[in-house]
Order: sequence, then C-alpha cells, then structure tokens
Amino acid sequence: MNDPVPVDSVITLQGFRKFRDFFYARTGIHFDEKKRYFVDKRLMERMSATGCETFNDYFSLLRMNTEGELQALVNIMTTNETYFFREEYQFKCLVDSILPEVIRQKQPGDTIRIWSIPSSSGEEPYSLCIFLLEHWDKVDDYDIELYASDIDTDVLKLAQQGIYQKRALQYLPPATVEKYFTEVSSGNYQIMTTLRESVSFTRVNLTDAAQTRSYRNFDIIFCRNLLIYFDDMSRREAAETLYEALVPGGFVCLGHSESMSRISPLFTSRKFPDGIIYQKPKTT
Amino acid sequence: MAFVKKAPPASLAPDQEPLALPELIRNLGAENAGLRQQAAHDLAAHPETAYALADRLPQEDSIAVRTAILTSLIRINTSEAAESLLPLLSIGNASLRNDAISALQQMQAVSLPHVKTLLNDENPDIRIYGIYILAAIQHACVCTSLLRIIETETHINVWGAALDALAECGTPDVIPVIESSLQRFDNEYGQFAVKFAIQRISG
Repeated sequence: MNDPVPVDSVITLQGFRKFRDFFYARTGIHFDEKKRYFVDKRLMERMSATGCETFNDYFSLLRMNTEGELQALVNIMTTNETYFFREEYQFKCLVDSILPEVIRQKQPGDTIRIWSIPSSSGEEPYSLCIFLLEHWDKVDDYDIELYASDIDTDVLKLAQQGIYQKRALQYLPPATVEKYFTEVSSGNYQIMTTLRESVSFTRVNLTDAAQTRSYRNFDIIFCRNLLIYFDDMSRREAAETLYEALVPGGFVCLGHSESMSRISPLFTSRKFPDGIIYQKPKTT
Repeated sequence: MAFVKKAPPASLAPDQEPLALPELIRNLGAENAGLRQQAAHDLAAHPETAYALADRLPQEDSIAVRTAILTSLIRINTSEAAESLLPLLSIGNASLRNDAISALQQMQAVSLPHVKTLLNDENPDIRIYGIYILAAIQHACVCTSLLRIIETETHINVWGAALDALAECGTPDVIPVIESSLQRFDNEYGQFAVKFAIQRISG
C-alpha cells in the first residue's frame, strides 16, 4: 500500500492562499492558515471527485464553476451537524443586545414575533425557548410568538416530536437537560410538552413568494446556514423576503460564515459585543 | 408562560391578477413605495422594460425599491438590461454605483460585451469598474482580456486592478508578460503588485 500523498506536495502555501482569497471573495467565508488541514483535506476530496490531478487544474475548474463545482465545495466546507445551543453567542446577543432594542418600542404585554428558518429538526427554535427562559429576565413580560419553518416536512415531523439523541444535547448544562427533557428510551430525550406546544412549526419555502407573503411583522429572524446553500439570485431574493418579513428596525441573524453585506444592500450591519447582526432600517 | 402559540400564517394566493404593463410602468413612479416595489418586482416578467427600470434608479430614494429594480434587471438578464446599468457607473452616488457593478457581475456572460466598452472608456475609474465586473465573470476569455490590459494599459491604477484580477486566474505562462509590463510602472507599488501576482500565480 502506498503512503498517502503529503498535502504540501499537492497544495502549496501559495495555492492555499490563492484559494482562500478566491473563496472569501465568492462566499464571504474566511479560512485562516490554522484551518489549512481542514481546507486542504476537502479540496483534495473534491479534486479526487472531479478527476483533477493538480490543484491548479482544480482551481481553474472551480473558478469557471464547471458543473456547479463552487456549490459542491461550499457544501462540504460548511456541512455542520445541528445541535442545541449551536452558535450560542447569538442567543447571548439576542438577550443582551437585540431584545433590549426591540422592547424599547414595546410595552409589557406586547407581542414579540420571532421566526426560525430553517428550523431543521427543531434544535434551534427549542434552543431559543430554553435560552430565553433561562437567561432573559423579562421573558414573562411579553407574549413571544415563535414560528419555526422548514421546507422539509420530514424534519418538521421530527421537530414536533422533539426527541433527540444525547449527542444533540451535549452543549446543554446537565441541569437544563434535567429541567426541560425526559429520557424516553436509552439515549433518547424528549423535550417537554409545554415547549413543544410553544412553537408553531410550518412548512415554508423561503424562495416561494406565495408561501412567505403571510409571514410579516417579525421582530427577529434567525436564518442561519441556509443562504450559503443558495445561488446568487436565490440568495438575493431570499434577502428581500426576509426584509419584507421584518418590521422596520427588525433584526436578522445569519450563520457565522454568512454575510448579508455580500448579498444585499437592504440591511444595516450592527456590531454588537457578541456578534454582527443585520437590521432592517427603521425608516424605509 | 411567556410563549404564545398562534395559528401558523397561511400561504396566500396572489391578491389579484397581475397588472397590465402600462399600469406597472405607471406604478413604478407612484408616490407609495410599496406600489413602486411591487411594480419593480412584477416588471421582471417584461424584459422590454429594462431601460424604464434602470432609468428609475437615480431618483429612487427607497432602498427596498432600488433593490427590487436591480433584482428584476438581474432576473431579466438580457444585453439591454446590462446596458441599461452602464450610465450608473458614471454617477456620483457610490452606493448606487456599487449596486450597479454588483448587478452587472451577477449578470455574468450577458455583461461581457459591455465590459469591453467600459475597458475602452477614457475615464480610468470606468476602466477599473470594467475590470471588477470582468474578473467576476466565469468565462474562458477573462484571463486573455486581463492580459491584454496588462500589456497595453497606461494608467497605473487600472494596470494594478488588472494585475490583481489576473493573480487569481492567471497561469505561469503569463508571468513574462507581467514582468515585462513592470517597465512601464517601475516604482514601489508596481514592484509590489508584480511580486504579489507572480507569487499567487506560481503557487
């Protein structure tokens, strides 16, 4: 058996930097040199899948986006499993920075509307519920409507059942698991009924205007790690849909590798201590 | 409990039949921004209105309407739609100018014939915008066009922009041309730009 080819002999440091700048310009995703192993491994995977013998051959193919290669690469560079409290810094930003601004325009007893799309199998909307209950001292002062949508009806069914493997709960403090979940079978935990009944799960295709037209007046939208999978045109149209769905001054939270500034000029970037969030201008 | 569950919003059928073209054109200049935005959106189905859409942009003060117009032009994606945006590259409004560049980049091959016009403009800024658009187009001719600029361009900023773009798509056989072009711009910036491009291309 041959030894594996050392990565350095396939992709040089200059090659890595050229790729890094190209990928950042096209997607807004930046990899520093500490991520080189991660990046090179995936590049080599795609080189093998596309039959490219050298990195330069692959880079030419990527640059021309032959057979949608850029998207194929984006997919393997960004694939992440979902779990509770993923990108928790944004929930902290929600409580410490976003909600204080939102309630400045409201009275106690008013409604705060939040939309989580894509909801996948429910980890994000339920994380929002738990985080707000645990960390926002004004949670009982307002009526919070939480909508969670996905295009995939299978994952919506799973979300409504609310049963998760222990692995999905690994970043929750044990006391939180104890408080909000019940072990229903070995290694499987179901989220409490009250929380399951707190979220409205709906099937929505974000790029279908007829389906999204009734989604309006949201104060906050979580749309994380979805736009990265769209092509430029769909991304642009999705940004317009999110804009229409928000109240003036409303906020949209994207995934850590996504940047609205590269997609659409509609939103203002807001730099908060826990992250960058995009805001619909108060006057439109 | 803080959470209140409401019935999910229903999918809505279109409110009404699509408006006729004359009415859409009229609405593009309506006082109500929502009407203008809807008209801009619906005019994507009428490629012949590309110039009317683009003409509205300099006076449009709503960013939502402006974005809807640009999205419709990208969706129309004809040579006329690309051409209609070219006058915006000469205006003073940097935000609108950048939006127009971004739209032309997204139009890809449709922008290509117009990029050639931009690259021949007497204003070096316009030539630089042409390079920005060219560099984003996925077409086999891009590197050749950039190389030609590097061989012939007399303005250092335009030459530098082309060199920067070529650093991404160039192959080692273009290095002699790059080195030779340094004779025209042999200063600190020129030397840095050439060194950087060659490093990238050799990588």
